[in-house]
Amino acid sequence: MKDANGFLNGNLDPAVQAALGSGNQRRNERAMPKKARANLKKSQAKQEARNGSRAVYDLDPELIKAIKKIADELCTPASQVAGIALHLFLQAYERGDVDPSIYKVPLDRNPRYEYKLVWETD
Amino acid sequence: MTVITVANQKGGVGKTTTAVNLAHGAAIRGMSVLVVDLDTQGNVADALGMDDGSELYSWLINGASTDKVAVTATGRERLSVIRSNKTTAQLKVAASGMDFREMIISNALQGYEFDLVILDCPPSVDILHTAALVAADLLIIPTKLDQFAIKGVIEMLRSLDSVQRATRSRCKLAGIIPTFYDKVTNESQAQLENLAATYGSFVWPPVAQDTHCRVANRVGKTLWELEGHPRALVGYAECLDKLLKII
Repeated sequence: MKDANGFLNGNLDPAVQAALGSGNQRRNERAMPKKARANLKKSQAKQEARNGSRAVYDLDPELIKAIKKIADELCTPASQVAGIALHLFLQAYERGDVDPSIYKVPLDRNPRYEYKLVWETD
Repeated sequence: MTVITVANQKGGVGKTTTAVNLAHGAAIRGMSVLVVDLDTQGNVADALGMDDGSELYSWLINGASTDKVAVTATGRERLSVIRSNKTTAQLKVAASGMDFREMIISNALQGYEFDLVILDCPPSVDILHTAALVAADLLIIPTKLDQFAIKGVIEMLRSLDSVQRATRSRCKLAGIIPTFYDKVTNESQAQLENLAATYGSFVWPPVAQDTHCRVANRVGKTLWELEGHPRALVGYAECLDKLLKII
């Protein structure tokens, strides 16, 4: 909203508010004892995992590099490219266009899994 | 045409970087922009990768027309520059003997239609500084988040007040841009809080401390032209949005 002189008035700029908010949070964290800070980080990590917006996968470093390269070309974070790639894969999987089972290789002595999927480059 | 003065009486707070990047950003968005360097250091030409030179003396003292002196060959569409160098010191001496010397910039700008004129002021308080405040519609004050620079903001606002009272200047404070913002230091945070508490909505989005700014100056490019994603550009883009809403 502009005042009589045409200036935007009212509340703080959202970017300033965000900077102040995150700064205060960081300052409070820094003021905590080391153990409390470690606990907080742990609980924050758990919370993020609970939110379901973050997952950790073990990937081939070449694959990570290739995603990063596309992300740089598209001027977007790598997570966004990975997200789109997974959506495309899931759609193709649902249509039956791809069959991951052909990459299955039996695993020996693994208590949890029977197979791994191996991508053959040749 | 909107005339904006970028000033702070403290040096090294990012005045030229702010002036050049806001100007180029506005030019990219389709506005015709003139940047006038009023500083004897002549850093606007350096920041844009241009040769050293000065058109300021012939523009302000000899009365050469703006369209003749403004350098349009900046390598950027719609961006023109009036450069400055050490000869500007002679200009100040020559101007001190003139009548209505506070009006020299506003008189020189009369009759020319750029969408935006940005005056990059020197850190010292001199005749060009006053003339810039008289000519401007809006004042932008970049400030580092340290005590001395914020003192410069207070002094700058006092100067503005004096100029408004002594002349018919229409110049008003548009915003204060916190520069070199380092989110991990307590001092940056404390000074930003202080600034926000004192000046409220006049505090514009902070511009992050970013080595890209120094790289840009070295290679003679603006942040808009640098490869990668300069963090400082996020702040400048937000400040540009804010500026374009006001004008």
